[in-house]
Amino acid sequence: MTAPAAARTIVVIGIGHRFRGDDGIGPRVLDALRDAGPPGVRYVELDGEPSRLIDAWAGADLAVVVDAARSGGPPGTIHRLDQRALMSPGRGGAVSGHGIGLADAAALGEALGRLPVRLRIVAVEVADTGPGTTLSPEVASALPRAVEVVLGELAHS
Amino acid sequence: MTHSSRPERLLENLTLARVEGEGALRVEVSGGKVTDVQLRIYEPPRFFEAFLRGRAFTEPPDITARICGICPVAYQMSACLAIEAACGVTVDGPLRDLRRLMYCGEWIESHTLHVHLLHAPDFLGCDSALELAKTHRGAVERGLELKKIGNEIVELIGGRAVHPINVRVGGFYRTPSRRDLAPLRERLLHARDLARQTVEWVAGFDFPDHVVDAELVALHDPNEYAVLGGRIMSTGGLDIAVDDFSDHVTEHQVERSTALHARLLERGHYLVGPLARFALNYDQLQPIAKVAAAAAGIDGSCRNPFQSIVVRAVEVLHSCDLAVELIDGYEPPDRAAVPVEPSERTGHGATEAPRGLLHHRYRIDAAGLITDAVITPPTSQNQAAIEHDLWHLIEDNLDVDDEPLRALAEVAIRNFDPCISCATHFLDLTVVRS
Repeated sequence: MTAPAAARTIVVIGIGHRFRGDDGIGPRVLDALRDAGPPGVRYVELDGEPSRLIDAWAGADLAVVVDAARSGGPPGTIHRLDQRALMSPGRGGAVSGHGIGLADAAALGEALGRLPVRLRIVAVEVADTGPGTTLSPEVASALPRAVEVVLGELAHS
Repeated sequence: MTHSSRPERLLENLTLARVEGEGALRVEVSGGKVTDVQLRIYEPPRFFEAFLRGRAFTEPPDITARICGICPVAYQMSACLAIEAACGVTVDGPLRDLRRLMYCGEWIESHTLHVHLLHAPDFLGCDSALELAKTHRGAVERGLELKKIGNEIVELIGGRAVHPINVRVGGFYRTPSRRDLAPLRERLLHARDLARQTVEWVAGFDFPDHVVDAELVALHDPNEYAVLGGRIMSTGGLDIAVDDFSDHVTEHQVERSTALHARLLERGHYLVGPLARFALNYDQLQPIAKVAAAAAGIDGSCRNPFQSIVVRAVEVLHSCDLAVELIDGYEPPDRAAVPVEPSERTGHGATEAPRGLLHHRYRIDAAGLITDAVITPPTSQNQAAIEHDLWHLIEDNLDVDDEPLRALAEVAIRNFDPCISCATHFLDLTVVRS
């Protein structure tokens, strides 16, 4: 943590689909951060496809990934994981639109030597991912807190 | 497909990994014979055709791009061609070349992802792309680099890599200058080398002996390896205009799947995709791709779906070389788009998505609103043929134990690179509390 802030590469990656209800939480958090976040941060919106994910975070000092999560917990719950927790057994299983989940993408990045120095995951428990451009009330009310959590990660970088 | 009440052997809950979307396979065996094969697609239905009704005739390229995160360009291009056909407009010259160039980017991206991360692990005894990255790091790195160059083409012409924003009915919002394309050319020369290495790599895999029993259907254009329009032809002699597609193909609902099954009237199941393109259009491949294919021991007579990984690799090489050629010949057009006025008609459009023929049909009213939309994606066309193929493959391998048979079936499904849906993405998270 000795490098000056200007020399550090920080990326926030929002994963999700804006037209699929709560799945759009990642991109929505990005929208808020573009207005409220600190300068010098790169924002990338992705669909979760692993090679683009790896490209987005490779070489960064800090990457914060914001994603939707389904663990059976109450909708709106915010999960915070670091790389080790993400990749530990039983977490982040490979059910995704592409057969390769976030945890697998991180593991793939690690095998190829293309992980950020620090990887943090902020995942919001979803309620409804049917077609639609609005968030469910539970997830909408979790949005400001999710933004704060990401800002906290950036502040501690 | 008949149901027997008590199968003696049941392969079930084979949830498909390394395919695009959510699906599963169920196979029943009775009396030493396969009695039922069901490729189940349980991705929620998506109602895109209903969304499109009442929207302006200019909107389908943007709306339908959202159907797929892997092949949005295909949806945009089929939508544009269908609407332009309805409105009596032909887009040609440099605007058409730019469309082809953008499509090259998508083929490179999509095929490279499938070849390296989804399908290659099957042939190298790896369970996953991750394991492959550990055992064949160089190959995976090459794949990621190649795919990135595909992304760069789509991003440069389309405005962004996923769901491009620069495509419109009639052409583009903005077209690149020759100078804009110059750096891409350098990258593509590099990509072409990588693609050639990929063909050599996959050609060395071991392929089970197997022949697909299906009519192969693809667009055909006598002047180019067809991607943007042409006639719809088959290995069984079908030769129809794109406008006649709906007269020859029926789609019907089956209970197990949220995707419709398509059939050719009087002909039954059929297969679209790389194997079909190769069978019908091999002669139109770029020369460099034909040389590589010949060295890999494969040509248009290939009917082994396990070798479709080689065909995809050759199509990537073809696309890299074609992209260089298109850049070299590019003269910026006078205008970024041809003006298109709505016309009260029905229009058809078809292009070759990475996974095969993608047909769109729109009916437009006098005010320019869409009154009816029908989208027939490659995977729904292939679903019946995939089931049929698995039926034969499993019947030929009934002496194999359940686990290896499951594994073989899964590889066989991936041969067809089914794109069940790319609509949602979840971090499927198990919270462990101690």
